[in-house]
Amino acid sequence: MDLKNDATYRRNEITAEQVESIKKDINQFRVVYDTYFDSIFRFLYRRSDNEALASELSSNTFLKALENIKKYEYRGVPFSSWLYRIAANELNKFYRKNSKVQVFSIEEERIREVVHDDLGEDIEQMIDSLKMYLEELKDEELNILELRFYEGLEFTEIAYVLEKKESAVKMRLYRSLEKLRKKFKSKESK
Amino acid sequence: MRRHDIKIRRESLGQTRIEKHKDFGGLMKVHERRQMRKLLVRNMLTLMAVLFLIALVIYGSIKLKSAREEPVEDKPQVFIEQTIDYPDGILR
Repeated sequence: MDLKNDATYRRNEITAEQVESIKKDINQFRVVYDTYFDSIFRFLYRRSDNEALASELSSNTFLKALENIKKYEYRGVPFSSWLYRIAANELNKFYRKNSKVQVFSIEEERIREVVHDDLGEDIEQMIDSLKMYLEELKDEELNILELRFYEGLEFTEIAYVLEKKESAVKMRLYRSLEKLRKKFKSKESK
Repeated sequence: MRRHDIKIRRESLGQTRIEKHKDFGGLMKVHERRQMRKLLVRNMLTLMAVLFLIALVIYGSIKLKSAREEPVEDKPQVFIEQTIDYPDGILR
């Protein structure tokens, strides 16, 4: 199995100048909201599998961003990474508070998009196996896979969102991909 | 122990469904309300601090005034009588 880095929902980024002008006039925050609402909502929906919850967490994310935008400093990553970081924190807060099992919901359509067609096995069967193998991964590995292949984030952005070193993110990703690859291979050989 | 649940969704989230959740006006209203609450709390704290300072000044001045008005009592001088024992043979 090979995954391609071709996130469908690639975002338009707002510039550092735009952020500076929003800091001066908070009413311009609409630009941020309109630009990133879709991607943040999709991210939260994927991680909660609940539309109402995703909506609530999106509101909290943008509210936090609105309240803290004056403190925002450009750190060499796109503005969206800052929003993803807030959203990820909101999600973690929710799961910690409610002590629920984290959910990763994946669109079947997206799996079909990112997986090569030359698998030589039934796609339905492959999806079932993938689901099983993904469940065996650690939360952090799954987070990285999701941010990389579904959100289409660069390694620097993932490192910023998860507050980790870029090298650690790369290593984790390659390890988890290797794990998946081995599992698929061992399944094929059986 | 399983820490997460993987769900495969047959259908992807449509744009119209996302649009339903967009409410920038509502977000701004909540923000304004929060800002107002923050401002109110800050003003209340400032007012309390000012009132406390005023009370402190009033208390201090009352204390000072009463201290000034109080008649100064003459303190009786206390003499301590010392008795020196001279050794015998020394003139006193």
